Amino acid sequence: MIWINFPAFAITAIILWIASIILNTFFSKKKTLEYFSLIISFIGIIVIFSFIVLLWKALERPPLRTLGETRLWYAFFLPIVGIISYFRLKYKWFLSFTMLVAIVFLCVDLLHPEYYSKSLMPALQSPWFVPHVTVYILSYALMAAAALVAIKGLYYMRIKQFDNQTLSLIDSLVYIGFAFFTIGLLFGALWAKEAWGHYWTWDPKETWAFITWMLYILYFHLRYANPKNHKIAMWLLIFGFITLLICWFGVNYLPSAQNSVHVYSRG
Amino acid sequence: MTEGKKPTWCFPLGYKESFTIAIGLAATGIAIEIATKGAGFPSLHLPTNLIAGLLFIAILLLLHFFFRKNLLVQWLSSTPAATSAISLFILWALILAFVPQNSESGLSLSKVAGMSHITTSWQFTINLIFFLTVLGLTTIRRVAPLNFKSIGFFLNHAGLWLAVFAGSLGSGDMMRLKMYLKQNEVVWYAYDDKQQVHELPIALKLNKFDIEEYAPKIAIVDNSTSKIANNDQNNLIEIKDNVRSSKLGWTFFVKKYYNSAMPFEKDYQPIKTIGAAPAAYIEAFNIASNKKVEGWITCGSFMQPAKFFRLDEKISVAMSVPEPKRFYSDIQFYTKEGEIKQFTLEVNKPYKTNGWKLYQISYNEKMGKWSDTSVIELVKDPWLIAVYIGIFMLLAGAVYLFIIGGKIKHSL
Repeated sequence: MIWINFPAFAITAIILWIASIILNTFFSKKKTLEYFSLIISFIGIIVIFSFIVLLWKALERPPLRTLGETRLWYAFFLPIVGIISYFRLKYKWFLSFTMLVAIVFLCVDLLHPEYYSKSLMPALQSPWFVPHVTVYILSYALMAAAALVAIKGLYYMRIKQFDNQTLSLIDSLVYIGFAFFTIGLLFGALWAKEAWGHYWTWDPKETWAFITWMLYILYFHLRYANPKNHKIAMWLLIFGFITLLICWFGVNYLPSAQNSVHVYSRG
Repeated sequence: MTEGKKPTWCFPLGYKESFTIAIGLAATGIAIEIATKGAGFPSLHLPTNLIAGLLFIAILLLLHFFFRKNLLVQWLSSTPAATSAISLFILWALILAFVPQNSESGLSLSKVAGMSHITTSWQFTINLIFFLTVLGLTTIRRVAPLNFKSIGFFLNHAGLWLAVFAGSLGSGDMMRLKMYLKQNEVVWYAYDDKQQVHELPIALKLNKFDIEEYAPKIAIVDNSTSKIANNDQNNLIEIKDNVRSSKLGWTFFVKKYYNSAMPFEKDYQPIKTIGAAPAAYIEAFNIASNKKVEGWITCGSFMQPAKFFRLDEKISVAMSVPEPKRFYSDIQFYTKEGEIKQFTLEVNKPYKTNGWKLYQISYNEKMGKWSDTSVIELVKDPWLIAVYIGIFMLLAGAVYLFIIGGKIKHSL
C-alpha cells in the first residue's frame, strides 16, 4: 500500500524542481544561486529515487510492471539526463526542460491513481521499455519546441524580423531532439530483436518513425546545402512534427495498424 | 556546393534534375513490376548476395578513386542527389503506411504495380541501390583521407550505410521459422511464413506451458453496451479475499474468492483442473436505497460460461478476464549429435543456441492457461552482426549530434 505515500514524495519533488527551474532560469547569473538550484534539483531526484526503492521493497519486485510504475522511472531518469548534460556540456536550459517534463509525469501519476495497478502486458516487461520511452519523450518534447519556434520563425520572416538567434535555437533543438529520436529508434530496434525476433518489421509505428526520421534528415541536408533557404527548412520542421504526432498517437487509428505490436490496448 | 542560376540539365545538377532522375528511377521500377506481373525483386541468398555486395563496394571504390572528377560521379555524392533519394524513400514509406501490404486478394492494380509489397518491389530495390550509391560515395569522399574532424559525419553516414546495406542484402538469408509444439512431442521440423516445412538439425520438446496471470477484477458493466461503465478504468476493482470498495454509490465486498474453480450445482468449488476459471462471491450494497444484491461472478473459460449479475437497470457486476503476467514454456532441446539440454522460453527472454535464437511467441489463446500448444519461433540471421555494427555506429553518431547540438551559433 506504499502508493498511499506517493503524493507526499511527488509533491516534495515537484516543489523542489519548480524552485530549481526558477533559480536556474532567472537567477543563474549568481554562481551561488546556480549551485543551489543544482543541489535542490538533485535532492528532488533523491526523493523520487527513495520512493522507487521503498516501493521496490514493499512490492518485493522491481516496480516496472504497471503504467504508473514506469512513469516513476521517467521522472527519475529525465532530470538525471538533464544534470549530466549540465555538467558535461553546460546545457543550462536543458536541465530545466527535463525537470519540467519529469514534473508532467509525476502530475499524470498523481491525477490518475487507476494506472498504479494497470498491468503491463508481457511484451512490455523488459529492461528496454524505460530507456526506449524516456529518450522518445525527450525527443518528442524537443521536436514540439522546434516546430513551435519554426512557426514563430515563419511569422518573423513575414514581418522581416527573422534573426540568427531564432535559427540557432531551432538548430540546437533539432540536433538534440534528433539525437534522442535516433537513440529511441535504435533502442526500439535492439529491443524488437529480443522480443519479436527481428529488429525491423515495417510495423506501422516503425514506418511512421522512419518517415519522421527521414524528414528531419532532409532538414539537416537542406540546412547544410542551402543555409539561406530558411522557409523550406521551417516548413520541414512543421511537417516533421505532424508525422511525429501521427507516429505517437495516430497510428492506433490507422486501418493498417490493426496488427501492430505497438497497439497495446488489445492486452 | 551552392548553386547559382544555371540552365537545367547542365552540370552540376541541381534539385530539379535530381528529382527528375529519382522519378525516372521510380517509374523504371514500377514498369519492371508491371512487366513481371508484380513478381517483386527476387530475394538473394548466400553466396549470391555476398558476391553482389562485394562487387557493389568495389564499384563504389572504383568510382571514387578513378572517376571522382567525372561530373556524374560528383553529382552522385551531392546533396541534391541525397535529397532526392531520401524523398523517394519517404514516398515509398507513405505508400507502405496507407496501402495494405501482402493482402491475398487476387491480381489487383496495386499488387501488379508492386504497391502491395513495397519492400520487395523493384522500385524500392532500385531506390535502395541509388540511396546506397549516393550515401556510400559521399561517405568515401568525405572521410578519405581519414580526418578526426569528420568522425561525427563518418559515424552517422557509414553507420546508416552499413545497417541498410547488411540489413537489405541479408534479408534473403534470414530464416524465421515457427515450430508448433504439443506437450511431450519431439519436433524436428518448422514452418516458414509460406507454410513450407523445413527439416532442422535441432529438435524441441515442450515439457510444460503455463501462464501466470494477474488477479482478475470486478468490472462494473453498463447493461446497454456491455462495456465498463462510463468507460472509466476506475470502475474496476482488483479481486482479493475480503476486499471492500465503493464505486458509483455501491459498496462491493469480496466474500469468497477462488483463483481456480468450477461450477458445482448452484455454487462454485475450488479445483485445479483443465477449464477451471477464477470465481468470486460478491456482496453489493447500495447506500442510498439500502438494497443488497449478491451472487457469484466468473470470467469463464473455454469450458464454462461467464457469470455475472444485475445491480439495477443500468449496471451489472462481472469479472474481467485476468491479464497474463508472463507466459513461458519449459523446453527440452536436442541436436542430431545427441546433445540434450533444458531451458525456459519467455516473452522478451529469447534463448540463443547452435546459431539459432529461439522465441516464445504464441500459444492456443482459446484455451488460455490450459493451452497444450506453444508456438516457438526460430530465427537465424547470419548478417546480424554487420547490422549491429551499423546500429552502434549510429548510436555513437547520435551522441555526437547531442554534444555539438547545444553549441550551434549562426552568423549570417
